[in-house]
Amino acid sequence: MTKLATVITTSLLEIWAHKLRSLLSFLTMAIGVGAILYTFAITEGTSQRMKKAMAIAGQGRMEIGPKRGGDYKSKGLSPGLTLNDAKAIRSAFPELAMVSPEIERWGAGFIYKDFKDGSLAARGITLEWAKRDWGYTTRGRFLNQTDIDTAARVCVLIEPGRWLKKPWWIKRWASRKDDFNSWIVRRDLLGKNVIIGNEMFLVVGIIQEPTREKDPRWFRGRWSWGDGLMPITTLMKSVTSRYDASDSPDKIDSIDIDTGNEETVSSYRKKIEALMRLRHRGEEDFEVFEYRERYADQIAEQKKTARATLLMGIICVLAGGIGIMNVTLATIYSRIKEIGIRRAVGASRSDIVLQFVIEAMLLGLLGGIFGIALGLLGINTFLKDIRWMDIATFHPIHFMAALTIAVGTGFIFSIWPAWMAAKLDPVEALRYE
Amino acid sequence: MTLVHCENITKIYNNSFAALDQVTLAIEDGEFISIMGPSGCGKSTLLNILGLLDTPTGGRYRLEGQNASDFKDSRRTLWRRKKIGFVFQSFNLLPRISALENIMLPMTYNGLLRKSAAQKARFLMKLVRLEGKEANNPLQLSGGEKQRVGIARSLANDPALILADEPTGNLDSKSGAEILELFLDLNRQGKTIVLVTHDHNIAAKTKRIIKLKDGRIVE
Ligand SMILES: Nc1ncnc2c1ncn2[C@@H]1O[C@H](COP(=O)(O)OP(=O)(O)OP(=O)(O)O)[C@@H](O)[C@H]1O
Ligand SMILES: [Mg+2]
Repeated sequence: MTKLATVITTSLLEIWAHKLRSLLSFLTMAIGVGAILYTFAITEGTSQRMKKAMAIAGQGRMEIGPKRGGDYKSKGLSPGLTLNDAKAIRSAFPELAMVSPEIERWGAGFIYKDFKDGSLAARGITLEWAKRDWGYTTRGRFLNQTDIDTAARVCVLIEPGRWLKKPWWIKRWASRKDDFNSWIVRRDLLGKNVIIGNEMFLVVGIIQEPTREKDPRWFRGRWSWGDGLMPITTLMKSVTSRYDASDSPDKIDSIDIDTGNEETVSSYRKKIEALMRLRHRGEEDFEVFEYRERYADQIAEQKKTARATLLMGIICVLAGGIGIMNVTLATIYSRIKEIGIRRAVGASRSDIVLQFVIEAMLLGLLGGIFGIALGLLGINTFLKDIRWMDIATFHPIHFMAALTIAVGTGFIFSIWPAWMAAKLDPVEALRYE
Repeated sequence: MTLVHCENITKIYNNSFAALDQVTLAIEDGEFISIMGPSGCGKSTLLNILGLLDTPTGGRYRLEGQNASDFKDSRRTLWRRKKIGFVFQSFNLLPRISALENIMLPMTYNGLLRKSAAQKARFLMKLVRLEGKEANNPLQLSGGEKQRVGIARSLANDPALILADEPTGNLDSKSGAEILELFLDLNRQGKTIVLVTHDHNIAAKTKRIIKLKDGRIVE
């Protein structure tokens, strides 16, 4: 124990005596450790986020939308995705947990008195919408069947959940102070008339989302600049509707389906696709994607990036190891006389090995600590755009692993030079000038 | 008691040059011996073999009755640590640590706790009359003072044998005389000392003088 303490003190003195050399040797190591830590954090964060999102959204979710890519030209046979498609699916499979058609109108715009916001999204929905993932608290009332049937000019506004305790990394993300989301939490618009997309709507309800901490959807990457919900029928007839004259009058943007559990997704998907093809007279102008797949794609994408970063990290750590080996050799050459002296006063070969290996491991440790700082800096810098929630999750194990890698590399790369030093002939070492 | 017994010790370099040639020598416990001889005659070589720092190519070396020429490196290290104290002409102190820590070095290798090592090192510094210089590093000491640290270090693990290779060679005559006094004191207290020197005045004060020439003992 005494011996180890003495060895460490000597090592620190030695490292301190060659500050620049030491710094250079552990810098590469630090970059590598930083990259590895970064990878760990991202991988962990992504998988946690996906798991949470899957758990909340339900394993049985899928969404039908128009064929993506935009280059699909209808042969004129299919009416496109319509409200009647949703109705047909609902009546064919009444056991489904949810069949929720939706029209989305991004940037519809919102005006109330002197407040204007151009980015509010108008969403046309049916009552099925309320069956989706999350329980909200509502003031006033939600839309009802009469609203839908009569295409009433009513709307329900969404008040975003607040943070109980705002994470530091959110504070740093520049957000507009005067946007709809921050504006609405300070107002009570229940019973007021507001203008959405140039038309007047009566606010019959305000939905309050849960606090951010309790809202895992938020971790799924769902983000909006404000939402106004209205009957799908109202939005369909609205002059603000963006569709071409050639479109079917009941054209919608998506149908969100929940089968209730993961096992049934594939079989329902086949049945629903068959039904849709039939209704679209054989035209494959729609696309179904399962939430599972989307998450899997995202995870795969993340993993690819993570692998590249990890590879870079490993290469850097190896380069750092070679750097440490180089420094260890340099240290040994400059201290041959010292080795002789130590041997003469009673140091064994293993004492000499220990001396240089501990020194290299300390260098590795310093590199590791530096690397952790670099990794944190990297996460803070590159992941600031938290809109897509590339949240890094830290786990004490990651820090331990990063440090272990750094210290272990120091050990592995110094053991050979240290053994060489220990095998020096003491007499020759003493005579060395 | 015979502490050291050399029988026909030979050291041949490069398979041809005999630095030591059939040296036979016995050293009794409590002796004070000086070794003299021209430069290159093999004095340091002999000392290194006596101190288990080097191995002879021929002959038998017995230390405290044990055949030390058969020892493996680990055993030689252990014996060197516990039974031998080296004093060098060029002091050979570690420059980056204090005088006290230099003296503690052999004790830490011997597994002594830091506290007791420091305590003993302080006592040894008093013995070599260096109180107050504990914290100085070797660069902040005079030549004579450095050699006292060297002697204190050689005493750290209470060795049976002190081997000093021209300990006064780098000192002026006054500090040299003081260092010799120290060795004489130590010998009076019972330490066995082998001292290499070129100085006849110093050698004259020791109990026995061995003269080497071309690797052989001439008297
Ligand atoms: N590693 C070596 N290889 C070859 N020859 C060596 C080696 N070490 C020492 N010698 C030779 O052995 C001889 C004895 O050397 P040694 O150092 O014992 O002399 P010395 O009596 O101590 O001399 P000095 O009084 O100058 O210190 C010398 O001639 C030297 O050149
Ligand atoms: Mg010599």
